[in-house]
Amino acid sequence: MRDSFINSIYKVTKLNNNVLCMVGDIGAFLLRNYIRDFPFNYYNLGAAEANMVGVAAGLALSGKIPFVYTITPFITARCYEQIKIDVCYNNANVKIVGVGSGVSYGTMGSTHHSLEDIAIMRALPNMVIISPSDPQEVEEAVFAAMKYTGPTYIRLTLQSKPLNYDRGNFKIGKARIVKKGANAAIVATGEMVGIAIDAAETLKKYNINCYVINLHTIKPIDKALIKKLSEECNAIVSIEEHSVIGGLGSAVSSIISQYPKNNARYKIMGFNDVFCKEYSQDKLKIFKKYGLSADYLAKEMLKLYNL
Amino acid sequence: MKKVKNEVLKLELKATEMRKEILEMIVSAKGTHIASAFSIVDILVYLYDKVLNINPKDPTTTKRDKFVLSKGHGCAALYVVLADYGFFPRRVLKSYCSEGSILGGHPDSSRVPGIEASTGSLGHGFSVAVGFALANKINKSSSRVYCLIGDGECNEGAVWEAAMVAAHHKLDNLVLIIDDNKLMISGFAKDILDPLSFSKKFHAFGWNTIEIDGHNFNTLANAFNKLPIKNNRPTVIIADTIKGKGVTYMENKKEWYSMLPNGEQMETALKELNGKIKFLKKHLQK
Repeated sequence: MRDSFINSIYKVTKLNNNVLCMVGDIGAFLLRNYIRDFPFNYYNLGAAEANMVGVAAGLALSGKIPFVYTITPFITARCYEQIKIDVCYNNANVKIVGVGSGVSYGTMGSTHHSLEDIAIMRALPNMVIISPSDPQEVEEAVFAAMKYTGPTYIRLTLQSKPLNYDRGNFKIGKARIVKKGANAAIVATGEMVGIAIDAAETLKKYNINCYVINLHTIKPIDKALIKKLSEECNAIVSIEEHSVIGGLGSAVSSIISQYPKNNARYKIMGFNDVFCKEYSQDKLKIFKKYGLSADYLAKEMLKLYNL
Repeated sequence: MKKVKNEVLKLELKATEMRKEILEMIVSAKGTHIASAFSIVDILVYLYDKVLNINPKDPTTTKRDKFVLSKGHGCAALYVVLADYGFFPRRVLKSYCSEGSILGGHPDSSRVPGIEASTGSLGHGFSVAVGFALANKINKSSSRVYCLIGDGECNEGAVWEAAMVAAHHKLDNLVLIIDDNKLMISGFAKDILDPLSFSKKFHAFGWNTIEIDGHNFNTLANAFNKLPIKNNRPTVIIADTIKGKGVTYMENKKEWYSMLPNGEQMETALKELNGKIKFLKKHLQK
């Protein structure tokens, strides 16, 4: 996802010279071609993220389209008040880009993890949240964010495998149906979409034909689709690389719990209100330690489906 | 000489009339921050009267200078100034801090013409102003950006992040004004987090520095007339001010950060302000 962002920001800057790439002292090597070709669109404002977001708001209110890019916790939680006031309250056209979201920096510990960023960003009026699931979707998200006028948060992990399905056009707020199903649905975001596809494959053996939904936009969320699924399905499981508090699961839950025609039992999977204390270069091993894998997901769906 | 003196008297008269208007507006709304507003009135009057290249009839034109009130709690003064210069009708001031009004206790850029950035939480407006100045540089615009912050506000770390970035990017189109009234909510700044020397600090951060009396229109004129002092550097004007300036019993008293005068105190305040207005008018006629 990181490489895809680097390529995408190059492409959107080539299309629109108002695009700026602002970083908090990261990415100099990866962005070397960008820096060479767009020296006047690139700003490294140092390890001072709070100010960087405020400056980006000033630039955006002056007609620029700044993408502010650094490691997720530092561009979300650290400068949350700047995002709330300078960006969202002013409704400034700033694109917040967090890289290495969730537990992507698997050996770095909780300082570099972000398992609460969706929760805090969701609470801000005017904010759009996009959480792409694979490299192609990162590019689609960056182009969509450039064209959309308003505060936008793009949540990236690091490496992720390309997903292969008939995806159609990307539209902010419109979920993608990765796999059609009946009676059961897994709704996922980010890299968990890949895990959801694997789990749905496993569930076939148990005669469960499961929808797999890619909720690449968490705000505004695709309410119509979630309502439809909740009418059609007996069981819905959500899975995310985020705390179970305030993220995708909460967003889906708040829709179906208030929807009178909801028929579905519902389970939220994610990090269960804990700091991640595992270290590994292999993210899947960390996921597994916290009960997040295709197998666990399939088991949870089976339990819920057969209740 | 007489012309210059008359010009200063006119500005003093305007600032005094505005203090009266601010006081009546805040008291009528049972609002707050009278003393903070009084400390910046003269600076605002000078900026809007003599410095800023702005057009109230076209407040969002791209070629304008921009002013950011980073210490948003002083906005009662800015509202009165904006109304006086025609950004919105004077009658709007009567709705200050009441239901349906666009004028709240801290300024909202999405609702108030002439407000460039919503502020209120300290240490934000300065960064946004740096963004405005950087955009002007990118666009090769000659417009300037002015930002007013409080001395207590300089406790905030983001202020120093912004100061570094402004100097590093050679934003000589940016002018920061510190309302150095030396009082915070709970007491004197020197007893809470001593700022020591703003001048030395900003100089060390790569800024031009000017120290002036923030209530004296001659020194304000001298400071703003020689900008930028040195190209390639942002400039900070450290304005020595008095919190509560203009109503003697409020001056330099921390209590007046949030207090409202009672009937008798209001009478005393109005008597002092009316007295000064009468005095200035008399001298202006000569």
